[in-house]
Amino acid sequence: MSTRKYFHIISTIAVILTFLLTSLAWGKPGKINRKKAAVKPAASEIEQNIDVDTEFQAFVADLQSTDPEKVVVAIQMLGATGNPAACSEIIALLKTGPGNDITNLALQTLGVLGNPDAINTLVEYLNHRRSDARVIAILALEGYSSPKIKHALEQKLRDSDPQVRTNAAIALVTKGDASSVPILFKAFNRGVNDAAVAIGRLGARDDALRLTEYLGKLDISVLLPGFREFLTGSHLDDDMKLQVLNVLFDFAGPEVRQFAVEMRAKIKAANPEMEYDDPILKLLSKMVNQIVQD
Amino acid sequence: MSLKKIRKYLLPALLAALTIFCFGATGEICGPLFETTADAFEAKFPENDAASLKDVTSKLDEPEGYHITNSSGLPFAIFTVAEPQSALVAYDLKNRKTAWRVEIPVNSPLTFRDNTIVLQTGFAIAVYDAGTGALLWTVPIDEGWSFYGADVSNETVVISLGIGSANDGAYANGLLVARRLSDGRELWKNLTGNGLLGKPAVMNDFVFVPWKKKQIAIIKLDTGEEVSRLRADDFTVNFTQATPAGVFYGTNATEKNVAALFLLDGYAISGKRTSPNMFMPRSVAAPNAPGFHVDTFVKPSIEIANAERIRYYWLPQKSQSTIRMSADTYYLHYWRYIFAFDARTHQTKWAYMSPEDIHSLLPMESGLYAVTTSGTIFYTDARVGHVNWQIKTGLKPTSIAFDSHGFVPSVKTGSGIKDPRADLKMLIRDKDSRMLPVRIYATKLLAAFDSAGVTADLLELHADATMPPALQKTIVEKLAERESGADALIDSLSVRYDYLEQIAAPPTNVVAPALANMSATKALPGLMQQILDYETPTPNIEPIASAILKLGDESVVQPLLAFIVKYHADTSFVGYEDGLNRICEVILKYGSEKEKKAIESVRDNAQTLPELKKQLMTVLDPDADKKAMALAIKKAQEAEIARQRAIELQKAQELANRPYFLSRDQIASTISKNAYLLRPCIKSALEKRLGLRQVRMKFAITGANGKPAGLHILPNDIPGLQECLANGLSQIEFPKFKNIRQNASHTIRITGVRRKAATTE
Repeated sequence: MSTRKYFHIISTIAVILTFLLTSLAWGKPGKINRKKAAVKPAASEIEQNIDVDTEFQAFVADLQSTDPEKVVVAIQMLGATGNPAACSEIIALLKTGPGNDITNLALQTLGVLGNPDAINTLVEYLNHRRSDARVIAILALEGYSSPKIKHALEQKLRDSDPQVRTNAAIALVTKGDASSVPILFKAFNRGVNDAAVAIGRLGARDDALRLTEYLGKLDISVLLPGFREFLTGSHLDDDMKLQVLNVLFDFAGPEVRQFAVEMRAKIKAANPEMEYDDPILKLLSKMVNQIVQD
Repeated sequence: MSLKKIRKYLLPALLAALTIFCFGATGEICGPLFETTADAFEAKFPENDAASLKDVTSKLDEPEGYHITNSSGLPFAIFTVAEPQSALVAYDLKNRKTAWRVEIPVNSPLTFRDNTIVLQTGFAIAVYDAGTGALLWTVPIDEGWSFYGADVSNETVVISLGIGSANDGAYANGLLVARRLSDGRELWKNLTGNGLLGKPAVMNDFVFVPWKKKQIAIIKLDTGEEVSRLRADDFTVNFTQATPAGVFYGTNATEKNVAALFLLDGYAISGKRTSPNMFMPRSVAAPNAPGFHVDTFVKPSIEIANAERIRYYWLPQKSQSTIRMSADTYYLHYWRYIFAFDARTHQTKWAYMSPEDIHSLLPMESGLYAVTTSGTIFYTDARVGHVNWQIKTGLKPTSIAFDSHGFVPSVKTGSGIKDPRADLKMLIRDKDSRMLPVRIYATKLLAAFDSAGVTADLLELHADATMPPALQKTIVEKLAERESGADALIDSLSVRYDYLEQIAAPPTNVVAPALANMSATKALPGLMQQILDYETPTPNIEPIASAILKLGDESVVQPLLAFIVKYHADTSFVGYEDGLNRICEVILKYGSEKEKKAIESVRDNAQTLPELKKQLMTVLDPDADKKAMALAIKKAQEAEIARQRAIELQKAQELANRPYFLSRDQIASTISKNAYLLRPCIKSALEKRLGLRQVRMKFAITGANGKPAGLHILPNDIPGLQECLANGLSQIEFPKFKNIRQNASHTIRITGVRRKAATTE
């Protein structure tokens, strides 16, 4: 999860930095251009477009620079433009085989741009020799949707690097579907604990029951995120949810009680009209009341 | 009777009684000194004497063969057990029931031979009839002595006792006692006086007892007299053993040598390990140095030592010249494992993995009995190693002996000859981490098979990612030694790492060079797949690329060029740039001018890894080093020429700037700068003439070198002053000038102060 946080922080910083640098580089357009717009709106727009285009071309040119700092700034700026052409320029840069930092930043930027043209490149970089590049490619792909992403992410569960496997499992929460569940169970059996969340999100009745079979064999804290997804999702009927909760009740402990407290609050918040005599809420309340607090 | 007569008979009678008493007392007091009933263990006894040994060996009877010896005629496994009560138990293998049981304290492993059981019980040695379990006799062990073993033959029990330690330099004494089997009466006993004895072996009329770990004393069974002695020259003697196939002795394994077994025959006098009467395992050296017998110089205990769980078992057959094993097989017992080896080729015949630890084995003429620590006895055919017969006796042995020769359980026919490679693979895959050394050993045994299939076996084992690293290392080493099995190696390249399936990446660092050596061009697609696979370990890139360099074609160029472009600046290759460099060599070999230019641009790229850049310079221009060297030499030469020119120019300038003559001031200042050369002369002159006021010098200076000559001085009557000043002046170099020569004069004025200074200095 730390890599995901790191990715989001970097992305946010990149966007803020881009905004600030853009403001500096483009001479605070918010003030000056607004005045110009009042006098000659049409001319100003043209001028601004010309300025933007010129700046864009300048950053594209900087991608070829031998100075890595210049290249880094150029990637960040191009990412901030949101210009579809930036995607192809960054892909072209990646094809030249830049150093580690530039490669990683370029992959992050392709993720931020959200241009589907980047999908093939990002999928290709899932097979980069550096595991950090593979992790970044996984995170970058989270913003895209394509059938090939699901398959590629499933294959990353076979990766030698634990960070890659974990991030692939997490990405499959949104990118996977019911057909991903068997391989997710396989990964879970091999210690990819975060696969439980994806199983909970994507799995069906049988998968929920299968997950309960791990109770007593694995640390319950590893399993609860999966049950949380099963219980809060709509893909499981209430009977099944009750069945899962009853099994959890059998393994009563402080963690299960805390889980029941959370679930009760969550379900109630999501369905305010739900009565407390609802069987699920009733069972959750029973769990909260009867399980001894640590 | 008169007093005289009484005196006449009484006195001699008293003297005789006194004499008898004195002898008796002496015997009590000095008994231990006279216990040797016949000569043995003498310090100066001849060793390795051919004649005396021949006399012994000629009297050893022809073998009777192996058969059941106990009086019941039933096949027995004879146990000593500690639980639930300490006992001696005979188990009837034929009828699958206990034949007899005697509950006694057991303090040593049992010895069984010829219907007789000997063991230590409490502080005594007890002898039992094996057929009935009847106690024949017991004899106490003297305080301080320990029981080291016994053997039985010809109605005689020979017992070895010891005191002290077998270690070099430590005090030790050994005692060999012969007792009649029927009633335990002592026949003779012999003290060594120096050094321990091991367990004796009795054959016909002789006792063969190892002594001080270097000698074997051969003693006559009826008298206790030593008749011959063998001495080992370059090995230790750890045991002797009498069998129907002859007398054997052996040495334990050392750091340098594996254990060896010797037949006691005429060759024994050589005392050399390499003598023809020696047998040793000639396959892979087994871990934990197993021997052919326990070391009989170690005090026997009912606690099972490691050495007893890791040893060779063998059953010899009579042979004229060499040692022959029954069923041509000998066995290695290693805790739960049994390995059977062909005694002629030393190749593994089969291997067996028991679900529980094995206590000990008994090789038979056509098979093998084994007993587990929980008391399960099983039998396996010597040829195949199938276990189709077993009895759960429930007797947990502390020691065991079998009297079951000739009893072959009705074994169900197995599924034919087993594949020893399959057995070994099963053992190698065992998850028992205690067994890691022997699993490595099994890997080496597997690799010793000269079969192309072994390569596939090793690759299959390597693909198991759960194998411990030490085992993986051995597998890789053994794969590297393979000279056959190219197909298996090629097949292995289709395997890729899979965490979920626990499949390891193939050992491409070994497979690729092997395939290159075999010129297996069919391997190219597999090699390409591996080099492009991101799971291939970075150090393996170089050997794979080297193999592609040999086996490749133009089809490899574009994928490898894309690889180079992608990773030329990637720091994951720092330290492994030679792999990238080798790929560039492949591209240059099979690519065109266009690809060469691409590689040149990689070389010239600012972000390319520095070491790769350096290597590419050499790759792209093989003479780069020579050229660089030549360039450096050329530059140095040019620099030297320039320096010479500068010197010449400086000289010319200096020549051009020279004056035609030196001025008076130039001459005076030059002499002034060098006054220290003349000052001692003036000082000396002042001592000779106090009133000296000045010295006038006239001399000539050569223009080309500024050297003065032809000095004349005034006054010229002060002794030594002329010579001294001439010497000082000759060391002064004046500025050079254009004219050939110039006359010069200079006056040294001596002021009052100077005079005073000169006189006071």
